[in-house]
Amino acid sequence: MTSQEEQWLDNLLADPPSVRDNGFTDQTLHAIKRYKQRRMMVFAGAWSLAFLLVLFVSPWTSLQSWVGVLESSNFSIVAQIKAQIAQSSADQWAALLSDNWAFIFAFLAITLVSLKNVFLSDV
Amino acid sequence: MSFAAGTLETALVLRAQTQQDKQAFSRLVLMHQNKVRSFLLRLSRNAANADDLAQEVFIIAYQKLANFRGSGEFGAWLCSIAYRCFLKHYRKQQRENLARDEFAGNADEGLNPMAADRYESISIEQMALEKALQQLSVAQTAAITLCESFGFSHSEAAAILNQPLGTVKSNVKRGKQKLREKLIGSRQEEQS
Repeated sequence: MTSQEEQWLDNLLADPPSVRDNGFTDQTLHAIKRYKQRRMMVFAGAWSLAFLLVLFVSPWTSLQSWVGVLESSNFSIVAQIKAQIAQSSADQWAALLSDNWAFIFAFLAITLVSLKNVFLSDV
Repeated sequence: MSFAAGTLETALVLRAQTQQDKQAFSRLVLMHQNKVRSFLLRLSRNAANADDLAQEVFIIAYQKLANFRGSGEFGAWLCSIAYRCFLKHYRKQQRENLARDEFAGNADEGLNPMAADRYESISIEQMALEKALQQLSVAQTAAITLCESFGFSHSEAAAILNQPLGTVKSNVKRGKQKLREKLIGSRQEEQS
């Protein structure tokens, strides 16, 4: 092996061919954008779930004090829930749900969209 | 890397880290996409897989940008993520191939051909080199690419590949020996 051949190989190795972009940079930035959107949706979904849990689960658990905290912030649905729990009949629960269907639907929708983005995303 | 390019890169990394600057990260992707994709193309020997892995590398880099302490070159950090991503993919592919071979009795799929249109421009000699690199082991290809093509020192390559320094030196030496045999042998055949 001559030193000339050694030099030839070293020069060849030191000059690797450039790969064409072929839209790679744009696709990568788009994928990062989708990742950020998904992260935001997960965050929103987690908060929605937590909020729903506080609203619907806490009256029967040790988290009941949260209802008071939320009630003090004049959040009307909490007061309604507390009143319903005091009487706690099936008809009244139905009335509560029907009065607040838009609110509940919005939170459920956000939660479902978040879950869909987490589990069915291609990134 | 020149001093000016290094300074610009440091500034961009700082902006992306502290201000969550999307433009700064975009420029970092643009600056390093060629190096990361070339590295992965040589390792994976498949252009589509290389691009998928490279995209994964940049998403991981974006997620873990706060972990980059600036103790080394940003390109070296990206190459270390790329190598880990590749190994994960490679091991998964090996398991899948093993399962498929057991089922179908097919032991060898062969290598995917390198397409010349993947490159901006490539000479016949460079194409011959890329083909010869396909015949080396993954560890040899990685060590040679980092040390000889990207200009990292042996110790930097050892840190990127998470391998002992002696292993990297040995892989470079043996890999280059094999390349010489293949390339110079084929040149002599062409001349005669």
